[in-house]
Amino acid sequence: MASYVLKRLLYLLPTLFGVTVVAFVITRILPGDPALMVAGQQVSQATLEKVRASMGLDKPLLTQYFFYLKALLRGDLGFAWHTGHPVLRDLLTYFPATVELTLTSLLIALVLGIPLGVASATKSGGLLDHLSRVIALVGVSMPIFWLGLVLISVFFVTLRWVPAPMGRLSFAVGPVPSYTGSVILDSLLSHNWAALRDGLMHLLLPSIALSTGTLAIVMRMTRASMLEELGKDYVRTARAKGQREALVLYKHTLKNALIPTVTVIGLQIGMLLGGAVITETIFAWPGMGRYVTESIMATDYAPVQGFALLSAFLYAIINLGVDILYGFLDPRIRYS
Amino acid sequence: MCALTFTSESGDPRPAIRGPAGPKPVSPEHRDQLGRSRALLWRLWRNPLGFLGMLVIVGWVAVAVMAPLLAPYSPILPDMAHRLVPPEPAHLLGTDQYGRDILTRILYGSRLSLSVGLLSVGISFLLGVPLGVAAGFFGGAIGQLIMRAMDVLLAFPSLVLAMALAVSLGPGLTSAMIAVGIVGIPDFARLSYGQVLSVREREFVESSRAAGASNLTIIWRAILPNILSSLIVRATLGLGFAVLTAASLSFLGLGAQPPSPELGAMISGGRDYIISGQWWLATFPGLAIATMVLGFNLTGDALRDILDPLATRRKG
Repeated sequence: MASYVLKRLLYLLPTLFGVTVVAFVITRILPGDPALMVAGQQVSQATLEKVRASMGLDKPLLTQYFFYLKALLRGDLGFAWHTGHPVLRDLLTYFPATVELTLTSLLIALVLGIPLGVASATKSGGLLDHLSRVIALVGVSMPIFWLGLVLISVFFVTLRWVPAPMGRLSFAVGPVPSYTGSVILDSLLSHNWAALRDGLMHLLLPSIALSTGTLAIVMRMTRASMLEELGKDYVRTARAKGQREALVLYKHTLKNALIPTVTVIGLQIGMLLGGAVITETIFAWPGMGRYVTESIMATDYAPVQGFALLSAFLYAIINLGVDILYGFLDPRIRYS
Repeated sequence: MCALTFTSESGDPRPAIRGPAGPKPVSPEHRDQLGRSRALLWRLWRNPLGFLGMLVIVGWVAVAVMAPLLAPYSPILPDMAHRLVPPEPAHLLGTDQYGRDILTRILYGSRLSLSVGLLSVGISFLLGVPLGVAAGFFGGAIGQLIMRAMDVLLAFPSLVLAMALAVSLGPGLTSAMIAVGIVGIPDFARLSYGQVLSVREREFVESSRAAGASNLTIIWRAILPNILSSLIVRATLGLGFAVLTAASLSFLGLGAQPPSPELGAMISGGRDYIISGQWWLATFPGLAIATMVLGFNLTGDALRDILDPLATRRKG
């Protein structure tokens, strides 16, 4: 197992290196003046020249890449002039809110998607199966930003079931002490039940909006791999032994069927990170995504590039974790 | 793009429901007379979800082509006397904050979305397929390099990469289109790479090689026709993805700029009016995007069932 983990770690390095190259190419080679991006649009020519020189833009490309890499290793993702902070510092400030939102969405997708997938596999071709297929197709076809707005329109504007879609807690409830950065966990830890309830209500709509695409994929994936497993000999043997059907499904089959689903979860993290940008914007959720859109609105582009790089790193590391988990679940993978 | 790859009929019998037009089954003799593409359309027609998807696509294409004929008003000119009118007979889908008719804007917006979708997928296809085919056919260090480069592009979450690219290219619909096109390249490259590897050693390739055909001829005559069906499936699903991603970029302010009647930009513009109860500004453009993307996804899904039943089963 250790050598497998090590091998996976070694695979990660070239990917991370490649990611820095792509990020560099995007900022430096594509049309558009990176100095203008860093300094902002409304600066004098002299300032621009200074910024250009300070960024090393008058040097050859390879030297520039070297500078870029050196800055990255120091954790320098550039400067966000609209907040007046280094990009990395801003991103880390907003990081916990994004993690809370994406993990909750992932949880919703798994808790609903896996049982629904199992159910439509066991009743394959039935009404539930057709219904779930249609729901899944509609789920991935809907723009997240639109779904979010419809949810707000129905559950806040019309029904008033949820608080105003502004941030993570209502002003009336006030802030909770920050232990973990997650409002839900922090209000639990500080026994602030009003904050817990309010935090959950704030989290409800954005996480539903963000989870739909992933829910659809998890559901279809579970269904497909369940169907495949259910056709295998060990299932027939289990049934022939007179094993109860629920036990056959959940103990024997699902465990094997979940292996492909685990891979999909790793891939979905990327979709959730992208979706978070949009969801956070709509629900004024103070995460990295909203920070990025605010930067776009302020034509401050260093945060966008910084976020792209950070999310690629996160995505790669999470998929490394998934790969390792995968090798853990399925020993055949380790030895191939 | 994984978001749009569905697995569907995994080994279970095809749904018993017939398409609304439910034509009679074709006789084998008749089928022989049909050309390959006609046969494909025929099977798509008989697949209930494929039928629905094609209907939706044809509908939207017709709307886009005939937008100037169908649209009752101007998509751009403001009409301040009729601001924020709710849906009523004169304005079936209401008007926006500048008094512009939303139906008109959606009709014109469908032109933008469809053309952006087509052009983006065109970029992904025309760059991705040659890269993947070259990597698969010639292999070696160059092939490895190409595929590793594709892996790196895939290491970015697709919407985030599209955002970073659009930012660097400068906000605008053309940038959004190019960004979405670039993001889609690795999907086509990986697919064609895998497909080429699986057909490269087959007899028909061997025989054309033995007959002295050049590499280019082998690729063009023996390989491409055999990997085309998977590419068509991917392109159809890719269209849905491209329309959705381009709309997302416009929503974020990186794509089409006001007053362009782009659907994502319209939703973005109508966003603030949701709270004050003017729901129609954002709702209808969103429905338009959703149905358009659904049309591509339904068709792509059905196409995969028809063309590639084995791949559907293999991938689970």
